[in-house]
Amino acid sequence: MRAHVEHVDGNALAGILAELMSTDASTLHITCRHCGRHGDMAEVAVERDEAGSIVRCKGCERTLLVILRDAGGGIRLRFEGTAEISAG
Amino acid sequence: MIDVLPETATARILRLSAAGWPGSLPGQHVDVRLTAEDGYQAVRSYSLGRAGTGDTIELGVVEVPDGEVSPYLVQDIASGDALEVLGPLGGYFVWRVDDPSPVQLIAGGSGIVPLRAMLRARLDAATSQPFRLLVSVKSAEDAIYRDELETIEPDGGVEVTWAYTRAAPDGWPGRVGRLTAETLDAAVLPVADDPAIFVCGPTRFVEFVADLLVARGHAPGRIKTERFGGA
Repeated sequence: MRAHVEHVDGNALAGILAELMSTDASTLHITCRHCGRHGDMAEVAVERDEAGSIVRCKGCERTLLVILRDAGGGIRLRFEGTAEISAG
Repeated sequence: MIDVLPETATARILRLSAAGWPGSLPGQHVDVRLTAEDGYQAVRSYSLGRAGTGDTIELGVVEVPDGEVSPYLVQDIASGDALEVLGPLGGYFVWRVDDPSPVQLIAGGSGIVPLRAMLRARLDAATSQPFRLLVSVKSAEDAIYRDELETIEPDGGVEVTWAYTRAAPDGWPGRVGRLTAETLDAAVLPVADDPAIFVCGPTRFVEFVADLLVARGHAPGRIKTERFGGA
């Protein structure tokens, strides 16, 4: 049981999400929402072209993530079949 | 770009001067981005052949027929040209010099590049971990870093084994052909040594080797892999 719940806003996420997102991505762990396979991000299958990358589960081959580079230079990350990404 | 060294008929070692380069760990790579005159961009990942500090980085590049990036890097780029490089990248396929485990490296073709960085780091640090490298290449003429690897004395705790898939040098006593379970068994450190294993090469090569190692009893968590397409 938690002794105390803070009611804050998204600004409070800056620290913990910076910690997650500054982790080298190949050392993260990813879990498939479809088949439950859990493993190293470095071991997933990736199809890459000039538009971006499609990340597939090695267990069920379904799409885990789609990473797109916009014409304007922005980057979009779509969570498709990802149940969880963890660091550490 | 400082130096462009022809290494084989289809591969080159590129040395680049990168101001402010933070240094890299053995096994890391960079992303190289080429932009065409019409704005079309292509990004490819290339392993660093040498780790460490200093402003000079070294890439090993093999020309992929009909490729968008590698033919330029192998055929056209010249000393004095600039390249857009992002890195160092990757914290997974990395060997750390303070890891006391014995190390087994297994390379298919140009998969030797990051493994050479690990091997060089081990030799430069003069540490005592036993290191074994198995290199599978089409022929001796196709082997990147071959001259350097052939000068390594086995008594320093570092052992290099070659496997040839198309043609072997004259007098080669072993077999020629696709890497087999027997060749792997003979070259790879035993399961009892619990080696840290790094496998790099074309996807099919990596899958074949990794599956076989697991079947032999090596723990999947001890086998780190890096694939570069060609599936």
